[in-house]
Amino acid sequence: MKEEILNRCGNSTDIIIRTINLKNNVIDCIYSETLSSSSAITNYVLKPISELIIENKNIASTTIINLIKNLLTGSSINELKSIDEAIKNIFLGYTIIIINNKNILSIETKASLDRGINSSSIEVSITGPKDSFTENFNTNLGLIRKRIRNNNLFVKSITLGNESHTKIGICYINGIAEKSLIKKVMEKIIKINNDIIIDGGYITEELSKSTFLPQVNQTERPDLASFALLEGKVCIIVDNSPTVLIIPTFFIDFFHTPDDYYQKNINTTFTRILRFLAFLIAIFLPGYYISVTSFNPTAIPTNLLLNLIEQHTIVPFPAFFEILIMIIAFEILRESDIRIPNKVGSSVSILGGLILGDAAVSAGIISPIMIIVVAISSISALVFSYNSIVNLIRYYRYLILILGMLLGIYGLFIGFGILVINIASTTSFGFPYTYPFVPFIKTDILDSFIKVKSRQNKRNPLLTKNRNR
Amino acid sequence: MNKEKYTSLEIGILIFFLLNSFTSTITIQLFKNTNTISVILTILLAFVLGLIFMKIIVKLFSDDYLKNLSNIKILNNIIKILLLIGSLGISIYVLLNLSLIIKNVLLTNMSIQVIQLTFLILSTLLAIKGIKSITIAANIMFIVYFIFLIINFSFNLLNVNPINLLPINTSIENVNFFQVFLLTVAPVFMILIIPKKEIIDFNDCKKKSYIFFVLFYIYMIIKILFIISILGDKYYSIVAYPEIEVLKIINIFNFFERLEEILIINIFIENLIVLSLALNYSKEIIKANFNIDNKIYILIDIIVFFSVIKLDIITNFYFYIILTIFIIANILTYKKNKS
Amino acid sequence: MKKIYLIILIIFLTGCTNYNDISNIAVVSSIGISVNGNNYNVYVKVLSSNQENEENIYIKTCTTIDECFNNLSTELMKRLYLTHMDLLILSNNLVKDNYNQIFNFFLNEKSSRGSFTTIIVEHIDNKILETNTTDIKNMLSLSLSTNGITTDITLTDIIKDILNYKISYVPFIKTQNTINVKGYKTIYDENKILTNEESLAINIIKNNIKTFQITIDKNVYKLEQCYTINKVHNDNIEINFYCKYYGNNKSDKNNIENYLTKIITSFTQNNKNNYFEYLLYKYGRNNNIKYNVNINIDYKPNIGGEIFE
Repeated sequence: MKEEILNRCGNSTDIIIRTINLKNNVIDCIYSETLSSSSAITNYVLKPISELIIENKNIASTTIINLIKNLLTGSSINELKSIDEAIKNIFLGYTIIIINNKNILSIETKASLDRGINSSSIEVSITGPKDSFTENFNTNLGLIRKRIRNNNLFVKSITLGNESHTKIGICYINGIAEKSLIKKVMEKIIKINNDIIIDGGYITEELSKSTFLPQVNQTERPDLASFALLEGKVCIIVDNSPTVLIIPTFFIDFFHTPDDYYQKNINTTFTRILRFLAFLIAIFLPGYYISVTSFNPTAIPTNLLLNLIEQHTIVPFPAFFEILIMIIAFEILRESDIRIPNKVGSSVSILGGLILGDAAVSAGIISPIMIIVVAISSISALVFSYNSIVNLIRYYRYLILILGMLLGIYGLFIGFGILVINIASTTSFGFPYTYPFVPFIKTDILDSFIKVKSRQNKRNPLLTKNRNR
Repeated sequence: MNKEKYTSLEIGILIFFLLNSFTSTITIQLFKNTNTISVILTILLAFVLGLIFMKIIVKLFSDDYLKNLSNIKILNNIIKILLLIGSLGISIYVLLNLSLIIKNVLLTNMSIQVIQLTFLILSTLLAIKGIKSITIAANIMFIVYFIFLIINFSFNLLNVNPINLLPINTSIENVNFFQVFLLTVAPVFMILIIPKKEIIDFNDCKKKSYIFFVLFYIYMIIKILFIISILGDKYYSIVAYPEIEVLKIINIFNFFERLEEILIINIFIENLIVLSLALNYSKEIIKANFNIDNKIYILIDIIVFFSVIKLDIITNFYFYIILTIFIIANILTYKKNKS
Repeated sequence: MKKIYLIILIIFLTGCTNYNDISNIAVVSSIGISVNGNNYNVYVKVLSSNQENEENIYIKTCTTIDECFNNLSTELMKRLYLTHMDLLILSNNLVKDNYNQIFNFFLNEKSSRGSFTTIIVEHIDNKILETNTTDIKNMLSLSLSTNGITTDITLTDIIKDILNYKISYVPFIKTQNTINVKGYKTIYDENKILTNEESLAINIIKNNIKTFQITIDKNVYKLEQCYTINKVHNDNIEINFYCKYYGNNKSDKNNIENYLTKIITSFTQNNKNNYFEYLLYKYGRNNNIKYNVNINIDYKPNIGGEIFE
């Protein structure tokens, strides 16, 4: 039997077999060196069996299985029927005990391969809780359960991925989340037929194929996930993924920060308006600059116009290519800054930001105002930590830049029209993306771009409306 | 919450945009060479007449508006053709007027066909997404529209000179209330494309429709008198676009001047919503007869675009006939509901 | 995907031909127009972006204003851009027909906005053109708050005035030795240079004045928070002028009242009264004009002091 197991695992070196000979019985312990904890094996498996050896009794082969079952101190012990099951258990970190080549027992000896709970690195909060999700499914679920100690927090788990067998958990609060939403999410997730699912991003991509706007939100903060659950949303925990997916997501959600609920309303309102302004600046500023310099210089003050003309005449490129060069240079800088190890990071920013920018201006290749425009626009985009909205901003920035180059301010209007059309025609799992503006929900407008008063309960009236009826 | 359901506020805002579709382009031209009393009288008469027709519109709402237009089969096809003429006529004139304004204010050196084509394609993009998307877009844009409207009014308040609104006891002249009525109410008939069953609370919707109808006429009176009081009736008559002339005066804190190029976005928004709705309406009518999907937009766009090229005047007699035909054709569909 | 098609389509359609870089425009800051026989002399001051040569003044002579601008544009090899224009200088010798041409030019020129200050000078020379436009604007607003004789009036205002009552009051500036304001000049139906008193009177009548000071017998009186209400009754126009006088002597009040009444009555008797006809028309009256001038000065004791002889 053990030879068969070894063969099917390709005689991998990390599969260890320890054979113990009792007087008339043979016990084989099989485990994966990498997935199991050796101390757990020593304590829960080998120590109890070694007691049998010390006693040195004759034990009938029929009774030995019950004896060993009673002796083992592990928390979960199962009796397995087939070799297939045994192999599956080995790779889950269990230790398999084969007694006399006949009976198979499995005992849990998982080793912890995860990092501990660290503080969140992307969605940083000043005053709020610091913990973040890890790559472990159970830890992640535990972090949510820690916040919602309620028997109504239901978790349905599915295994997805034909090759990777990734565990996926769909969490919702029974009694708050709408049944049709849960049904819809389940249907869509079951349909996913990928071979491998390594991260939550795979599922996000499958769920929001149709439009460019992000329909699924990802968070690494357990507190935000719990908030979402209490609102009536559904959370999806993917094993080995440090982010939890939140469904459905509205446009307004991208303007909310983790800190919003931990500080005074007036401060929250200020930061939210600031973020919305940053969103508009990030998208429209380069396009507006282009349209001003090439079609409609009317709206800028006279002195500024003269300043622009003076700066513009020295530069050998047309304004459009100038701004394109700068934006692409900045994108490269940003990308290299993300990928580069921390120790070299500061030198990149010095080289790219200070030296290149300054040298380009003094060499007369780029006008200083152009660097200001691109810098303001790019910094405004950095306000957003969600990668999907950063991509959205980037896409629209280029679109509006081209339209502004071709049609001036009228091109900006067209770009604005396309943005609104895109938002208006998007739905997130059947819910309008523009909540709470359309459909207009009076109570929730006070917690949208502004925050005047906190909601009495965290329930989202849109998501829970039909259920209450 | 189903995606396809409409709340009454959404319908109300859509009605506001439809009423507003020709205000800043054609209607405002009608009040040249007139006086305050005539303006008020014209709009009031148009309001009274419009109110009667609003009642008809509310009654005309049905679940299968386009599928079964009339009980008489021969009439059915005729009505369809008339409705198509009406909606295409509205799209053509919306496109023409907007492109003229954009050309005059923003792109003086650009050929007008480029402006028309880009705007037509943008409206088609919205129209393809369906009537619900148009409604949501109208609602989002209404927020922008409202903010810019507040800016326009508040920063122009200091320029108001009430003497321009005098004299009061003069002869009433140039009262073309029927034209105003046609220009405001006729496009509203396009709202009937929304099936009655998909409106969440129809009684509330009725109420909201009337509220927005009244609000619109108040808004129109205020707007026109506001412009006259700033420019004076004679200057109002000699400039091409009085509304833009008012925007030119705006001066925020002595620094933000010459803002008309940005504030003109309101006219852009008004026309975008109406044009995409008219295109969608035309498509639905054609679709009711032939089972063609979104590809029909290419045909509609070609018809609209080439008709616009042929036209060169802002408003003419035939346009009012088209609007009248559109209203009559719509009223003809009423018989079916009665029986 | 559709959006990409849209963009490609626009690129093919526009071909970037209308791309109009700002380095190819000449920003005009002020324009001067004078007439010489049948020809117009057009002076254009173009703002320069370079620090060394601050401004460039160009002069063209031709039969129509449009022609002058086209010639100048080709000479400069740049498009003349009038949106940022601040000042229009008209010469003293223009007549009604010239004004019609000028107004038509500015109403039809697409880059013009009509929101620039307009002045009349005796004859246009480099001195007035070289003066900074904001300085001239400041001078006009200062002269309103000190002497109360001129206002900063834009071309649109002038066109409105002419449309309404065929006369407009434009600031008149002398440039012989120094540049200084000399009250108003009436244009269009009547071409006349007004005196300081007449200019003050028209400003009072048209409710342009908020703060000003007057000199009577070498005494200077400061008046503040002034406003005018013109009332039209059946047979007369009532001009009510209200002001606050901060002074040391209550008897000065009558002095000021008498003086202001005198200048306003003399103005109404000696000048063409198109503005009042317009007012009467607006209030729907057709009677002969009679005037009733009420000056109400409110005395407030001054906190400062005064040396008595």
